[in-house]
This record gives sequence, structure tokens and C-alpha cells, in this order.
Amino acid sequence: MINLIYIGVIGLIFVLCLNYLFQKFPNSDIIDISEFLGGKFLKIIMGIIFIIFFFLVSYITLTDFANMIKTIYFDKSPLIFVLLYFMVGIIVANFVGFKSIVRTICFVVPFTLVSIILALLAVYNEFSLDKFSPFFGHNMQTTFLNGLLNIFSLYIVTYYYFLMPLLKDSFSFKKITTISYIISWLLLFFTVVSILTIFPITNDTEPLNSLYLLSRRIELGDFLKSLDALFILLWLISIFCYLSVSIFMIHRIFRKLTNITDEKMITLSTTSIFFGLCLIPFNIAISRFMENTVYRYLIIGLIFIGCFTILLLANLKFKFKKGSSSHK
Amino acid sequence: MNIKNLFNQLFEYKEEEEYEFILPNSSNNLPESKNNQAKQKIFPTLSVNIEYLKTKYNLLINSDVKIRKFVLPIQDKKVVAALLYIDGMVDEKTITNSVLQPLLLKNSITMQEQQNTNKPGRISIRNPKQPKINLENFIYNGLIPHNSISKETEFEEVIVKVNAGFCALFVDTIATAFCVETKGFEGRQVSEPITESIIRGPQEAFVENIRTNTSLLRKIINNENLVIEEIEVGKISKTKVAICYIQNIANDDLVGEVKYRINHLNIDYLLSSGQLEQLIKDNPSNTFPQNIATERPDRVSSYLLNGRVAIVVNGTPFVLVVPAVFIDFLSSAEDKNLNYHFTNFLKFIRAVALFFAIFLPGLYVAITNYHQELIPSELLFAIANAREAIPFPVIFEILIMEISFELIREAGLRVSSSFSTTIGIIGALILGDAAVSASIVSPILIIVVAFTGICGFAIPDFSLTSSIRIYRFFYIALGFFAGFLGIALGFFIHFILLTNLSSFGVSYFAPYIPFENLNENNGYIMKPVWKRERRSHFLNTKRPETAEKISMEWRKDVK
Repeated sequence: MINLIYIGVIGLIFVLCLNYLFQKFPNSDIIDISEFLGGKFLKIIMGIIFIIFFFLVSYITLTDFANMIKTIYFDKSPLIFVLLYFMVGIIVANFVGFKSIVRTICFVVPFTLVSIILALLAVYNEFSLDKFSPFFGHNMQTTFLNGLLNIFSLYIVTYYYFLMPLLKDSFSFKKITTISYIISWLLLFFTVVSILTIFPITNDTEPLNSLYLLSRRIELGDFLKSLDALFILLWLISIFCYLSVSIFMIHRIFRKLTNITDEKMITLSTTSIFFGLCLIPFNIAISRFMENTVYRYLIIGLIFIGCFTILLLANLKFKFKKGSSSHK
Repeated sequence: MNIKNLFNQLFEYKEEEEYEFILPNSSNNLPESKNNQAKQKIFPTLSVNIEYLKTKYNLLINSDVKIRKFVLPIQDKKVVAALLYIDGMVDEKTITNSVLQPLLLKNSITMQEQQNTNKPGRISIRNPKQPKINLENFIYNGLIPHNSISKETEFEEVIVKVNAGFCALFVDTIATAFCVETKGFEGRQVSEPITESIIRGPQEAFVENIRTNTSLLRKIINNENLVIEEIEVGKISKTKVAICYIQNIANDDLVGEVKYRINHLNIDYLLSSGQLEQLIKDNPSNTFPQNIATERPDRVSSYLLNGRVAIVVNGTPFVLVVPAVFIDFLSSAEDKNLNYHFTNFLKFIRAVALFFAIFLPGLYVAITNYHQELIPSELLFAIANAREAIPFPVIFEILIMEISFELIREAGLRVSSSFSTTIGIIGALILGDAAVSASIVSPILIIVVAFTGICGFAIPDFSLTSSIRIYRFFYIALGFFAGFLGIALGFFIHFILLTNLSSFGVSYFAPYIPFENLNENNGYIMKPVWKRERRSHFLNTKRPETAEKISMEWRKDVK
């Protein structure tokens, strides 16, 4: 619990720092800033890394969720059947355009947030504060030092590196990043708190999504039981939105690297690659390793250290350049 | 070729070639010669003019186009003249009283008086050289006592006016025609609205005549800033289209855009506002309505006063209003006449109706096939019990019922009201009793279909209901194939497509997506009438406020 608040504060400071560092680069994303700092070479390297990153993040999210859906509702159907639905959604969304995706997200996010809060409220009688203990963690090191690694769960900041050129008004960057960060953190907070207060710690190994398990416990009187499917419906829409944005990001980076005029033309090819990636049968050990280790350290290494360093150095270069030009 | 060029060629964006559908050449397709298109001036000789008009109007086979020849006595001369009009389009009394009588009688009386004054025995000063009168001005200023008369020098203008119910006077030796408004065709009288009936509020509806419709608007908006501009659409039909807006409220760019779109319609004919709606809407391929179509003058007036633009098409009792946002289609003309508490309650009911009208059959199929755990045990047993004797799967069952419902609805609309009652009874028997007795469908499904149908009727806009009726089948299919996964996919795609819509530059989900300050907008939830101080922000009107901060000034005086 303390760790959650702690990483929330650290994350907020990080976001504020990003806001400050991006002030010098209005209308530029991390790819443009990499080019400014290290030329085309760094731009291409960063672009490729981010394309792989978005593919990986989308892959982990989709396979995790698709497997859950398959296990619950389509146990006799192959995974490809479930995946195809997601692919159709991604393709249509990316063909229609980013503006529509964003507008759909604006509609879906409040409902998702409310659904999680409702799920939390519906199971309040099962809350047990004992499960919070030890409230302050086992020791300082695990809570504040090792626990810092949990910052990976706030990987929403990844999108801030690409947000600036997508805004009509670069001055609203600060407002948007701060508000979205707080919403994201609240979502995480409620989810973790609800899971912590209800499930024993052993449930961590459960392959199914913990939120789903939480929703299964919701009962409204004797009449309405097992309302999990309704929550699944909402979360499915959220996953569609999330995947569409991630694939859009891949298109955008690809466009920057190759100078293609319209990213819509590569929608089919990107989605096909993504679809193929999702169909690769990894064994459970590799999947777990990717989810728990690669994913976590990639986010920390790339987003919280790598990109931040690039941004910092680019600011220094900008300052130096400005200083030398004014000196002349 | 280096790698960079190859790469650029591979990934270079190529614009899609425009799709062009060409019908095979037919001998009946007569090429329009450029000479024919050139505007023909009126000839100074009457006989030539008449010959020209006879050819233009195919007078040998056209029975309703009339040319009345007569002699016009002017001074000591007799000038031949002719009157052109279309029988049935003109008021014959007006022609007789306001055109022919003055021309023939008044003119002859004047001539007689003049002759009398010249008789011997009377003291008169005879002007040896009578001044030459300008015949054109003499007829225009002195002979036709009509308020609406114009002089035309080109045949095209004359023909357009004659087609609209004017009569045209051609006089020998003058290369000008006088077009006198003598409209008098039969039309429907202003009556109660058929599709948008309300309890409190005016009970007038638009009719087919454009001028009656614009006068209905003028009657409500008693302001000189109400502009009604007329445009002709259709190369053959030359249908009159009136663009109405309030000059000091509506956004100039919006008005300009409406005019631009209507002026740039390259079509042969325009028969209705429904046709025009499809021609000017931003996303023609999307079935959701993007313009409001209403037959209520009070509703149009309300929109005009809020800064929107109305389009009246001659021959249609439905007026278009642009731009339109999604919440407009869930609003009724009644809303503003009722207490805001009740209005908001009704709006909530309509939103619920919208949800069920789209999703209920799809959700039913999804739940019964994939998510049975959602159904409470007792209800599940009841459904299972009811379905025990049904030999068909749920999807077949629901499709039978939905299609039957659509058939009955369509048949009920297309026949006269006396038959529609019979159809209703037959429908109710088929839907409600016979199908259940024959074990074709389960009773619970009847409830689902009937409830969906009622929800559809609760939506005020016909175009929205029609659109929903189509999408309902998609959701049924998706629910059948993948349960909630399919429904979620359908909703996601549906919503993505809807958020991509705009109506004359305004987002379809304004003012919610993109979110705008609701204090500056009239959102779905209606504020009390004294708090509706501002016009919708997304319309960017010239006058953002509709009322002063304190609209009920009388309250200030109470001490």
C-alpha cells in the first residue's frame, strides 16, 4: 500500500520533469528529439526499439487477455478465433483514424473507471484490513528500494513521449499528462487495493486476470450473481482501445522512420505481423519470463531511464546550442 | 536504382484512383450542344418567340402549356401580344383580373377616353405630333396592377418562372417578357404534424409548398434578420431550395458551407429533402442521420434561433436543419415545453430505449449462448423450460421474430390507416399467440422482440430508428458468433465509425466528445429555462448568449 503511494509520487515527479524537459521541444516526440541529439542513427535505433517495445507490450496484453477469454468462454475454440476479433477491431480503428480512437477512449475510460470502482464497492463486505499487513511493508529496503521497480506499472508515461505532436495546442501538454497520470494511478490504486483486500497473496499465481476474479465475487442480492460477464464486456472494449493505440504508435514511428505519406497503408501489414506474433506458441516458462522480467525491465530501462536520459541530454544540447549562437 | 529510391517507391503513398462508373453508350443519350446551353435572348418579334416556346415546351404534345394570343390596343396602334402559362399551376382568376382585364379593358377605356376628348365640339388642344410612348415602360408601369412583376430578357429565366406558376406576357416589337406571379396550384393546407405529434405546443406542420413553409417560419421568428435565400437545384427539375438562417446569430462560415454544398450539386433533379440530405451530408456512407429532418416549424425556429441553418426544399414537408449532433436525435419538440424535471426524465427513458433498441436482441442471443451465468437461476430455469419445446436454435428463433416484426411494421406503414389496424391485429396474433402455440418461438423471445420494438418507437427521430433497425441485426449476428466478445467488437467498431462523423464541421458527439464546457453548452440534460443562457458553443454563433444573466428580472423587484 505504502509502496503504491510511493511509486505514485515518484511517477508524478517524473511526469512533472517530463513536462519541464519537453518545454524546449514543442511539436516533437522522442523520435524527433533522438534525431536532434544523435542524428539519424539514434533516431532509427530509437524508432526500432520502440516498434519492438509496442509490439511486445501489445503482444503480452493481448495474449494474456485472449487466453483468459478463451479459457472462460471459448474453451472449445482455438485461440486464433478469439484473436481474429481483436485484429478486426484494430484494423478498422486504424483505418478510420487516430482521432476516432481517441474519442472512443474518451467515452470508454469513464465507464471502465466506474466499473472498477463499482466492482470495488460491490465486494466491500469482503474487505479485510488484515490483508494489508504489514501496512508499511516488510522493511525499508523492500518498500522503497526494491519496490521502486514497481514503477513499471505506470508505463502510461510511454505515451507521453509521443504525445506532443498529436496535440493541437502544445501548452495543454502539462494539463493532459498530469490529469491522465492521476486517472491512471487512481485506476491502479483501486485495482490493487481491491485485489489486496480480498484475495490471499497466493492468488498471485492464478493465470486468470485478478480483476476478473474480483468481479466473479460480486453478488447483488440473491437475484443477481456472477456479473463478471458484464465487466468483461466493458474491459474488452478497453482492450480494443488500448491495442488500437499501440498499433497506431507503431504506424506513427514507422512513418517517421520511412517518410511514408499515410500510415493507413501499412495497417494491414502491421496487424498481420502482430497477429502472427500472437500465434507463436511460446511455452509457459518463456511467457512468464517475458511478462515478469523482460516487460518489467524493458519499461524501466527504456522509458524511465533511456528516454529520460535522451531528453535530458537533448535539453543540454539545446541549451548549449542556444548559448553558443547567442554568444556569436 | 539505389536502395533508397526502391524503398521510397515501395512505400510511397499513392492516392486512390477515383471510381468512375460509366454506362454503355446509348443512342438515346443525346449530346447537349453548347449552342443549346447558351442563354437565348427574347426576340422582338412575337411570332418568332411563340415558335421558340412551342419548340421548347413541345406544345404539339404538351397539353397543359397554354399560349393565349390577343390584341393590345395602345394609342392608335394595335399590338399583338401573347400570354404564356401552365394550366393548373396558375390561378385563373388572378390572370383574368390582374393581367388580362387591365390589359384589355383598362387600356381600351383609356383609349376611348382619349378618343372622346378629341371629338369635335369639345375644347381640346390637339397635339399634332403625339409623343411616342415607351411601350415596355407603359405596360410595366401602367397596365399591369400587380405587385410581383419582373422584366426578363432571356428565355431561360422566363421558362423557370413559368414552370413555377408565373405567367409570361410577350408583346410584339418588344424583346422583353413580363413575368407576373399568378401561382395558384392546389396544395395541402397547413395541418397537424403526422410524425412528430406533441401534447403541449403548436399543432402546425410544414406542407409541400416552399413559400408556405417559409411563411410559417417568418410567422414564428418575427425578425428582420431572418434571411431566406433561394437556390435552384437540379438541371432539369430546377427545384427551389431555401436556405434560412438568422443573420446576426448564425456563423457565417456555416452558412457559406451550406450554400457551397447546395450550389455545387451537379444533378438533374431534386425531388425531396431526403434526397438533398444524402447529397450534402459529410459522411454519406454512414447510415446514422447527420442532419435533422423535421416537419415542425416551431422546432426549426428554435434551431434557427440557436444559430443553426435550415434548408427548405420545395415539394417536401420535411425541413432539414444543419449541423446536427447525436443528442438532437434523442430530443423531441415537446422537450422545451415541459418542466425540465420531466423533460430530463423523458430523456433518460429515451437513452435507455436507445440502448435496448440496439443491443437487447444481440445481448439476449449472447447471454443465452455464452453467458448463462448472468441470468439468475430461477429465470434461467424458466427460459430453459420455455425453450424446451422449440426445435430451433435461438438465433433462428430471433431472426424469424425480428424479420416478422419488420415485415408487419413495413406493411403497416405502406397501407392505408384502415388496413393498418387489421395488419396490427394479424401481427399481434402471429407474434403473440400463434408462433408460441406452434412452438416456433418461446414466449420470452416474444417479450424481447416486443420490448425492443417499443424501445425503437420511443426514439423520436425516424432516421435514427431506421438506422438502429439495421445495426440490430449485426449485433444479433455478433452475439451469436462470439457472445460478449462479438458485441464488444461491434460496439467498438460502431463507436469508432460514429466518432468519425461530423455534421458541417461539428463533431457528432458534441459537446461531450470532444468534451466542452457544459456551462457553455446545451447538453443532453436540459437545464431550467432560466438557465439556458447560452447558445451551444460548438456552433460558434455570433451571439453566444440567449438571455441576460438574470432572465427573470421580475424577481429582482420582489422585496
